Amino acid sequence: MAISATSIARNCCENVARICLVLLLLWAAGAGLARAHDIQAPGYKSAAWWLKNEFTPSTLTPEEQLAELRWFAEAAKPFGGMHIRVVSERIDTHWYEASILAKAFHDITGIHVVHEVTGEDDVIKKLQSQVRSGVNIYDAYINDSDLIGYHFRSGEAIKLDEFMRGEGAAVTSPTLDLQDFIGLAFTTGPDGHVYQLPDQQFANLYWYRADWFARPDLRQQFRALYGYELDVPQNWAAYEDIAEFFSVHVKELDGQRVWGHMDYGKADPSLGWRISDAWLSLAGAGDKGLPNGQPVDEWGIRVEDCRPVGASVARGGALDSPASIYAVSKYVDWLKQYAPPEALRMNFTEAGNWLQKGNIAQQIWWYTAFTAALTEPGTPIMYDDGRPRWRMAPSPKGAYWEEGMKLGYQDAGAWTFLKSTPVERTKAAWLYAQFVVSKTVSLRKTLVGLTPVRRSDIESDVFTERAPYLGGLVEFYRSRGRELWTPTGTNVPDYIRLSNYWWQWVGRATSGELSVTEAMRGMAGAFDTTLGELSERMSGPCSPKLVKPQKEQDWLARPGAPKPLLTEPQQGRTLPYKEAIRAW
Amino acid sequence: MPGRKRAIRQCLAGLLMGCVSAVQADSRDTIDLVSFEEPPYVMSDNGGAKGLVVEYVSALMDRAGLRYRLDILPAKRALLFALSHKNACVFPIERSQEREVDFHWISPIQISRHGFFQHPDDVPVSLRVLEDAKGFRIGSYLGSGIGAYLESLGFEVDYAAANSANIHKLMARRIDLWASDEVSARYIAGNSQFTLAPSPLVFFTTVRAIGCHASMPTEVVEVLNDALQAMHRDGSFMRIKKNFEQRSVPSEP
Repeated sequence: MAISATSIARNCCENVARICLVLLLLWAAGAGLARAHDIQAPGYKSAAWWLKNEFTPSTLTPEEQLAELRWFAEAAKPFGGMHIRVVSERIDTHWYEASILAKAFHDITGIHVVHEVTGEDDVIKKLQSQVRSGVNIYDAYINDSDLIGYHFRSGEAIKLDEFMRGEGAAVTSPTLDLQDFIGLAFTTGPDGHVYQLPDQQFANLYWYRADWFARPDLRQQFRALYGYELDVPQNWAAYEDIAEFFSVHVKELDGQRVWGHMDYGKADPSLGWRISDAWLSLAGAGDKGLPNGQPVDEWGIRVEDCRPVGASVARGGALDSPASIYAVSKYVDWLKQYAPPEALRMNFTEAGNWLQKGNIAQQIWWYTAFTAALTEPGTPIMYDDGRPRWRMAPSPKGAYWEEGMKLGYQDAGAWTFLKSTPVERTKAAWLYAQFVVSKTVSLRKTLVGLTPVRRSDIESDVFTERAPYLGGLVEFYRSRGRELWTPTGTNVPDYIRLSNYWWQWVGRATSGELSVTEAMRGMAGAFDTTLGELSERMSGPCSPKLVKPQKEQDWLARPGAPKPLLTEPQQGRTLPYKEAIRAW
Repeated sequence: MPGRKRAIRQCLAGLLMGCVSAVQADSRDTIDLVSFEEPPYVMSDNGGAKGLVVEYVSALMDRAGLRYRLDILPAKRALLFALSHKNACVFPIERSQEREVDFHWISPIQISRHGFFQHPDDVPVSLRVLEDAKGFRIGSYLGSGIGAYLESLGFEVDYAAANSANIHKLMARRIDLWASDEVSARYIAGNSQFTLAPSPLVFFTTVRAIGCHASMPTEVVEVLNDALQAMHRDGSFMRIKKNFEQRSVPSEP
């Protein structure tokens, strides 16, 4: 084939144009960010692709995002081709990380992350297995900050503040901005060290059907029956009245059987955290003082200085006190009297999605992790314009609750690294942990899972625009409520062992095998025994040390928890929504 | 002082173990252990049993000073047996939140990595995250925690009576992917004269455990867990594994 000078010139021009285009693309991708495999392997995408197609909106400018991703690509170079493994619980936020962010991280850094998603109890049992066996099962765990009491006492978890200054300095992002994390206090031990990096947060709040509560016919009927307004309940007496009103008196709305209460009762680990998260604290079983009550916390454990000294009333605790028995009795009674019969056999996940059916009037505390699921369009609990028919508000308080006590529970799933993981693997996993909470991806992740951890995301204009569609979530996270609603505190020295007792003993009360009093007595005894064992295994100034039992009456006669039996009945009290959320 | 505490604790543990042994010998039956075919961890052997996990459990029971009988049953039946018989335990089952309430647990006896395997003649599929396997027909076996896990996530799972049947289903293209413990899959395939390509995605980790009937005395469970922890820490399990692998497990291609 003859080649003319013109065609050579044309080819030359085309080649120059192609080279220019490639150079332009490389520049756009962040001057060399597009790794060799981004271009060669089908299915792999460049940082520029991820910025344009996934990581928007962001609180950073595109240039800042690109610079942040460039840092991740550079810092990850020594670990390229490595496979790491992490595990977390089963909620929308973590599915997004496991399915989308792990892929993006692989494309950008060359580190392949298998992000496993499983039950929360499974996560902590796996963490316990790594501690027990010394085998490197995972390179990182996203485990609830409820374990902070264990992490700071056990010596098994890496102190992240030390790691970031020391051997992890080269793999710690300069744009991490720790002070931007709203839950950092939850993951910091009493010794001042940061043990975990928050990844997602959700709160326990009262949930109710604002559209039903606004119906004039129902309001009138309620007022006639109970003598006050059908609004947001401020105490358990009002909650109980509303539960009875819908389950017993209203019964049917628009041809559908409706219920005034929702909960779950299956003897399963998730029953344990249902009870330990909030029932005792909102009943008022513990002491005043945030975050968890001092000297008796919301688990009924008494501490002296920072040492757990007992959970039974005989040892100054409150786990089998009249207030705790009242709390669990209300839980069992309402579940059986006012919730759908199926609820008795449900667990956390099953009950969480039940509200979508549109036949529940209220729930005393509901996990905001389900906000994404409950704002799906087209369900009976949504208006056609995308606004929810429901609202979240502060939970009502029980008869023993006093001003200055814990207002509610907040869950903070946080990155945890064990010392038994080889340091190079820890470094690679630490990069992934920072990536999934980086400002480049954080706002987008927050809009998907609705479990915010960064102040910058919460204060963003995007969050303002979303507020009318999220039932009060934005208002809660912009208020001081995000600090007042707290996770399990540092009094609990071994969450993994002690949390088992909650579902094992309360499950026996739910099934009727034991009375509530017998169950709480049994549980308090089991707690004391375990605290005694832990005092042998743990050392240090905050290790448990049981005090000798005394007459219960002596403890009950002193101020604070454990508190004596109250015989005065609570009077139901409600407030309009706008006044009720002032507690935030 | 921690040193003194430790000594007292060891002394008490020794006494307790002695008490437990005495209780076992005096008033209780020998523990009925049941397991199921899962080569190379558990395999029938002329009316008895052999395999890596059988060796682990045997060493553990010796360390704890407990007497036992061991039977091999189909996986589902083994599970049901331990659920319904006092003084019975089943191994090596996957410990999970769903099963937590059913048993007293002695764990971890084994850490399993579960991967997808495909027909050796197929073009390798690109699986980077679990979600990528949606749309494939996945083979597992009855009683498998991993099959139940995938099914709960909306995957299409096809169950065989035993895991060893899945290699034949894969070769006959009755399933697209075989979800299995990695070591088991390689061993089963090797025994059937097939060579599997490396798994395109090792997607899940399970803690394998001994699950004992809910009525098993807490003291026995604690003695077994303490012995297990000591064996992990002093390298006993590592030595058993090394020794076993030198004898039997085919290596990955």
